[in-house]
Amino acid sequence: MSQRLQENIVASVLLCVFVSYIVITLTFGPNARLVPLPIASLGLIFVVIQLIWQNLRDTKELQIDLLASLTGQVASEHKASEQKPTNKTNDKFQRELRAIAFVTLFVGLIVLLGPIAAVLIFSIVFFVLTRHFTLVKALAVGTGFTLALYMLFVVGLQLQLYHGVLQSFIAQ
Amino acid sequence: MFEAILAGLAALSTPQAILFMIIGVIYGLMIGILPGLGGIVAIALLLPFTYGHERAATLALLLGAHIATIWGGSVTSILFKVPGAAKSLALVFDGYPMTQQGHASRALGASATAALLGGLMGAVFLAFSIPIVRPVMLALGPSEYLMMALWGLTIIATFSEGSLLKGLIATSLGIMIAYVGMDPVSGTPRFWFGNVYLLDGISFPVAMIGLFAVAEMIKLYVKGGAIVDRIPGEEKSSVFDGVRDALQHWWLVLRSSLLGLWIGVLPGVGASVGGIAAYAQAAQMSKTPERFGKGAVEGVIAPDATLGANEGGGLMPTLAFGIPGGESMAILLVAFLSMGIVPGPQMLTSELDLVFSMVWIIVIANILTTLIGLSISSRLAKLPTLNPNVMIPLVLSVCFLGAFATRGLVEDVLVAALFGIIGYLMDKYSYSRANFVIGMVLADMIERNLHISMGLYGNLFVLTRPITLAMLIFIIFTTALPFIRQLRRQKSMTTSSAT
Repeated sequence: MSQRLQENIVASVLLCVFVSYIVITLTFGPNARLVPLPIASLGLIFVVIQLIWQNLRDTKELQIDLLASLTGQVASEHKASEQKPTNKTNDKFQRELRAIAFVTLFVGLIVLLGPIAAVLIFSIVFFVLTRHFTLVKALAVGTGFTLALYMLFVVGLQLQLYHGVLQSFIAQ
Repeated sequence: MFEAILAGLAALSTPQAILFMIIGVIYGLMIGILPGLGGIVAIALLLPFTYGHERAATLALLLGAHIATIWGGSVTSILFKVPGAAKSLALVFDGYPMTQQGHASRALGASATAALLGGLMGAVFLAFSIPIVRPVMLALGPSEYLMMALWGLTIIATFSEGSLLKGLIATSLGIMIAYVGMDPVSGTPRFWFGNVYLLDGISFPVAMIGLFAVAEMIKLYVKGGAIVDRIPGEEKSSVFDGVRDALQHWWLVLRSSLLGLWIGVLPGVGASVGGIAAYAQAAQMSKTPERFGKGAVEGVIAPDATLGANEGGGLMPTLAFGIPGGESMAILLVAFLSMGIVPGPQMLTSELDLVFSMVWIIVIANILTTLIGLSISSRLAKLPTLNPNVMIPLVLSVCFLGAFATRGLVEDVLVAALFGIIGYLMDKYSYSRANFVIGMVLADMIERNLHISMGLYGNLFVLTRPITLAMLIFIIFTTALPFIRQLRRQKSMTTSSAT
């Protein structure tokens, strides 16, 4: 996927967010919408300008926007180029998907089993999958770390633990 | 005033405050030394622990950790050529060449001492600025505070790093997110989609954990490979050579600290700009500028003194006006609000002892950081490798447990994860996360003060209040100034090319 297409997708999603926000805001009373409505409208104008601007510019200058060029500032962080997808970009995309999958897995485990059991399972699985530790070492490090967190949050801070959806199913 | 100074110190002499300060500094050093984490992540992870303790002790934990991360970030720049945070970038230029030449300990010693001296100057500045700022603050009403918040937003959006238009979009998004939940003025539930959880609004600490800590872990995983991998060489100098260097260059330390204070006070001009500006002025004013970039100790001293002083300067507008200078100050402001500390006139009147506690914390935390830093510098110089595969599951676990601990709601874990993904995408596509956070923090101030102003002075309060009107003109002027300058520059370039 080219850089321009990615930028357009992000800007389009934002456009939808701003439009939806404005539509919902219109259902509120005058006091409740006094600030949200103008802010969302301004945001919408900025997104529309951004969307038009990024499609008029040369792809090499994709990160330099209208205001940046007017003020003479240049966005420094990304030097975008409309390259055809290479193995490197494909690999990066795959790593992004894997990272999001890891986060989703972790959150899923927390909802299902509660935070402490989820930390234990996730840390061991992560160490083993990334081949950083052997299974035995991963078990030892994961258990030690979970115990440390348990001591800090449950014993030290007296956090009321959530035991997960699974436990309520079993209890029923 | 003198009583408040003593009361501020007394509040820090309890066993809990002393313990929290030590924990904060050690934790801050550890997080700061790990590249990819840095001060913002450090404070975001501490946010769940800000409830139910002595206020001074909690501040000691937060500010202690924040101050320690500054020097921690310098360590990775000097040793591994990997800045712990964007603000430590300037330390790479001469710090890393010093390490390559076998002077890592000396560079770390100079860096720690310069940060200490800068930090002390920042604390002194904060203490002295209070009696000056107090009468000004007491003279301002809600309409002027509204203008201050608007000025904060526009100046941050205009001067922030990266794409300006995207910065403005991020600011709008941040404000919009802050309005999820019950409207405190009209009592209208907003953007709750029939979900009771959303009625309480998005928890700021949870959003911060997601936006910064979770997002950084995703970034670290996507980047892959070892963060640093090097073979430590033989050391040719000691930590005390560095301490001597910093003391000998006292004039450079003073100049750089003053620069740090100035940059800290200005909203939107982040510490990352400060570090680079300090390096540039050190090189420009040096008698031997050709040594810069090749391992000149002045190139380490100047940025660290600026970064140290920046905190004291940055705390002044944060505490006095509720306008954070940058993202780290915005997260500190979130922590203050969650502790019930409301910036503004009350802060410098009835809460004056707490402000002086903060001044003392800056002093003590800087001294502690330097003492610990100097004692571990020689060991750090031999640090060979850091691997993200150990850090990611550990930090993610703390993030999600921390998010859960803020209110004991599992939904907060989901929100932290969602904001983590949003934060990663914002960073990837240059939508400033700093602007988003500052928008979130200032949203309530804008709405509350607008309603109060309209109630007190009528709908046309901008025209009837002369100071408010003057401030509005100032906002328009400062927002338009960069554009006018550029237009003039373009015009003069066209004229000169025509002739």
